Amino acid sequence: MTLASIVPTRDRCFPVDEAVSTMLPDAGLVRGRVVGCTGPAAMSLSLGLAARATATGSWLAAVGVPMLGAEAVAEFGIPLSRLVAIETDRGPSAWAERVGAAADGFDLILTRPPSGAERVVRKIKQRMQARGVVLFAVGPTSPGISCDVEFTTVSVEWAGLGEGHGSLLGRRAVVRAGGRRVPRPVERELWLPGPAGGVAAVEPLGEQHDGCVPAEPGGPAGIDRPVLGRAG
Amino acid sequence: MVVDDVPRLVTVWCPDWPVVAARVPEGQPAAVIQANRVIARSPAAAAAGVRQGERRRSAQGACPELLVLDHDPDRDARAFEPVVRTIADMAPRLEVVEPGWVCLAARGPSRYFGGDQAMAERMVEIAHRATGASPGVGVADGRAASSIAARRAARTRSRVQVVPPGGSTGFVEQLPVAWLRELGEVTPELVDLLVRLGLRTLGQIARLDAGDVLARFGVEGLHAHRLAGGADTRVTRAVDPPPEWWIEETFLDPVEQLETVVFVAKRLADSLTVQLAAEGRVCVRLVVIIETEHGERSERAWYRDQGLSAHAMVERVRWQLEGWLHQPDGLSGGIVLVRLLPDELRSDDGVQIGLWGGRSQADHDAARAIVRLCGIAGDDAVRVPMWVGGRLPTERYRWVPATSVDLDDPGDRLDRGEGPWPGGLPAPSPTVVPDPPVPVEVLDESGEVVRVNGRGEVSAPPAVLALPAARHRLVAWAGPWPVEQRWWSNDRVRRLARFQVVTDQGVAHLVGLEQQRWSILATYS
Repeated sequence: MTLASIVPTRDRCFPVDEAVSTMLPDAGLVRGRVVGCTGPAAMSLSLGLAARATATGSWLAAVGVPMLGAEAVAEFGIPLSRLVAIETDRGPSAWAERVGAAADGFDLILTRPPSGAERVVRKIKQRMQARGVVLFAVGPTSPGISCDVEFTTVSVEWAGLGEGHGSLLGRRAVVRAGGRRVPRPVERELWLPGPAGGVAAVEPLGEQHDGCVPAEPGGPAGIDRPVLGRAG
Repeated sequence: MVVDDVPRLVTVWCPDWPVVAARVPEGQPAAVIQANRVIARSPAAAAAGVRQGERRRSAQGACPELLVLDHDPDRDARAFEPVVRTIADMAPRLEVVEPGWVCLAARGPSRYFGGDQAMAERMVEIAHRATGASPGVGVADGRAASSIAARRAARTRSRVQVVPPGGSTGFVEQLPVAWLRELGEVTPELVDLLVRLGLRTLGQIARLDAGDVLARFGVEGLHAHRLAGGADTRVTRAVDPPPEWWIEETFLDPVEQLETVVFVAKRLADSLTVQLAAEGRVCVRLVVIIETEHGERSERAWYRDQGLSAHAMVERVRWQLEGWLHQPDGLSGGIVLVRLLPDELRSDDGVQIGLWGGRSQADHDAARAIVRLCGIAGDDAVRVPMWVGGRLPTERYRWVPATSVDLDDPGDRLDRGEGPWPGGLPAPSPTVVPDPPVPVEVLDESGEVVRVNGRGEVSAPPAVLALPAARHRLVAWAGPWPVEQRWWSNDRVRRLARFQVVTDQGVAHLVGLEQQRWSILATYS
């Protein structure tokens, strides 16, 4: 008899911020799942997803994520006292070994899968499921791993910076949640990060923009709304 | 101070149990490390000058051939099971405080074996013969006094110390204050403070007025005062819980995996502690009952003076299972029942210190994984952030090896102090901080490299970010924000102008111009 058969899915979840929880079918990060984050705001997205769980006591391991900005991590609400970074060299086997060892003690793992990761990913997934760990696979493009939940930033727009004046204040991003475990892909506009730091939902501006729009399966950003500024 | 009706207790205490459990060969200097600090050491290591509570590197400095072992509470529990069983054969109503430490009422066994001294000697002998362990046995009135007696006995040849009935007050009085810390009853800070105030023996504390102690040192101080007076730990008359407070889970399908049982125990423990907390109580004595499909049964009482938190309860269920699983006549089938029965409660005074130091299960697991990762990848590959402060993203936090810091006490490491850093950039901060910065070119509309003159004026608005592989148009920019650092030092002086730019891909960078060269200082991914 396994854990999955005793404990209902909702009890095996790590909590996430309200802004993101409505995008997930179980309203949280189910233990043992692989969560992919791609697009220009991929790193912020993964930090935003991990924030609530780490704030309630879970530890976060960043395996093979060089150059991680600790200050940004803290601004997302992740206590730095529970953040550990583990370096790996390029090869997928060393990466798999370290992700596996981290899975024994950390609830959440943030990683950039190296090239060739798809060869070892099956073993990694089994390990994550056995230990009840959530793995965030972050990459500018799809890392070649089939993820249980896949977050993609469809378009982004920075606020606060003009032509020669201002400074970066926050970023509005249209984020789509899809993947094997998300039966109905959902799109939502989020602050990543918001002016107050961390993830927040962008308040609906009008009637044509209800904040949570089911996307057309397979299609690109299947929503009809004013273009989000210059970037995108 | 009059000792109220305290029970006469026997404490069996195995010194440095984690080292004994690891089966270190005799004469080998070895130390068990938890969270980078020595929690137990072998006699050879102690002789070489390795101290309890010392950092790993300094212990290795004192004794280079030191064998360093990871702390594994499950291993301790497994190895301790035979000792518990041997003692349980003599006196079945015992309670385990932690692996290596057992308490039981003295009255029955003492009568049976012909006096405290005879019983204690017999216990040492039997435990040694059965398991090779050499515990100290202390008999005294009250938990604290008998625990101290056992620890003192472990340092003597006879390994037995009996404090005569009614003699606990006199016995405790002459002891140094540091014993409070040794028992895990009082924080090291308070002991330090007491010593600095000139209170060196427990007797000196006991002679103070209880009201004054409470006013000056709070609940913890009052607790220290009670112990110093030879009274039993905490309130002696614990409240009997109403019978319906036990909580259990039965499985229709027998469960084979230990992790699954532990997970279920966690849910039980969580709801039990919530229930108790609603009544303002904590459980100090918990009976854990586990049954298998073949009717085998393991029942054990666990005691913790500070009160058992939810993870302390889970830890004890795990210890009990580990011990049971590794017995030759252990369980033969899957588990069908787990029951947690709070046997003794007391009102919650909000003090949770000592043995566990506020560490959660997650903290324990992470600390162990960090040790393992250091073994696989090397100490330098496992790093944690430390606040340094500065104006540039690379300067603000530094990544230091996890083994060089105290993970349990991140206060100093992450304390950002008061006030802002003038000249730093406002939030949000970049998520990717390359070190060293990545060289690029920033061009204007006509393709010329953008320059900044000594007055901080830009030659032309930046329009293109040229990476070696690609060119990106810039849609927004701001700057320059100058930084002039360490102008007083000829070789460490830095002058650079910072810009924030956003490309047409929606990617924001922090770029810098230093000595006519552009580079990407950080990226907001």
